[in-house]
Amino acid sequence: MKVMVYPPTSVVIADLIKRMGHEPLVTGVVLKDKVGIDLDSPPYEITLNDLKNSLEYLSVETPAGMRGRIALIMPLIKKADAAIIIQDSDFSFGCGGCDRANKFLIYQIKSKGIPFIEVQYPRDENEAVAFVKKIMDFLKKLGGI
Amino acid sequence: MEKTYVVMISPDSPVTPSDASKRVLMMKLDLSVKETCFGLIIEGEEDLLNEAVEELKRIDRYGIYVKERGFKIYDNRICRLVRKKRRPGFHQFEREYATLPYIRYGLSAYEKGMEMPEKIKPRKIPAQKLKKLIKEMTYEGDGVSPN
Repeated sequence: MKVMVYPPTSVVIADLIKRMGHEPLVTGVVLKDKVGIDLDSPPYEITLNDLKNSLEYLSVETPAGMRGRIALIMPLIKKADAAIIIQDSDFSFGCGGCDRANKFLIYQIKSKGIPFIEVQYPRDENEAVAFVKKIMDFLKKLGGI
Repeated sequence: MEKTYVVMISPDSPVTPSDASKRVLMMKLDLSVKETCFGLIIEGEEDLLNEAVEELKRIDRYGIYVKERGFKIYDNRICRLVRKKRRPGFHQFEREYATLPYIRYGLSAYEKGMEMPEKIKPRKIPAQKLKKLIKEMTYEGDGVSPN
């Protein structure tokens, strides 16, 4: 099954999904198509097609930064059969991220009707045991190994 | 189909990025390997990549983490040497790199079937008992603890 990872650049979650025999949907999957185009700095630089595609979900007056991010990540959410969301992903907010876009994408995952779980990054060993167990049990229920 | 994988090695792993790159090169597969500060970037056919990753995970099962990457190895647009500053996506690596020793503990505990130890909640004490305890531990005169 194709499992969406949120934030979509997480190495840990992507690896855990692969260990259980599923396919992780990470940013690399969609970025491959962008890299081939002659852009100076993908994914920061967006194309006209991205803006057009994002109109499916957003209005015209939405800022281009948010539209570009949503146009990049939404194809992953469309493909996803399940999702794992990390709640306290503070690093995806700030100069490199957009909190509004993140909230919108999480809303899209939740309203799609696919099975999903929400976890937090572990801060000690005990939390890590619970973190891994929750994810592995969820992936086991989906099928696979 | 050609793919690029990012291999992140846990900071508490006995395997160093240099060891890992040599190990992959010694397999003599048709792969491009780049050694980085956090691990490796490998590029090639998907079957060969999976073979190389399996070999690395055989050395350290809980310390090697893999993810697919969109950019090619020698893409200048994401190269720190050319950009003269941190490349996009490095903040996420940095954040997760610190978590990897915990994930190793969690994974090994999961495979051994360990449950999360229950947190010991402090018992509630009635107010009267607490007042009595405070009285016993302090001087009545100035209220300062003898210790």
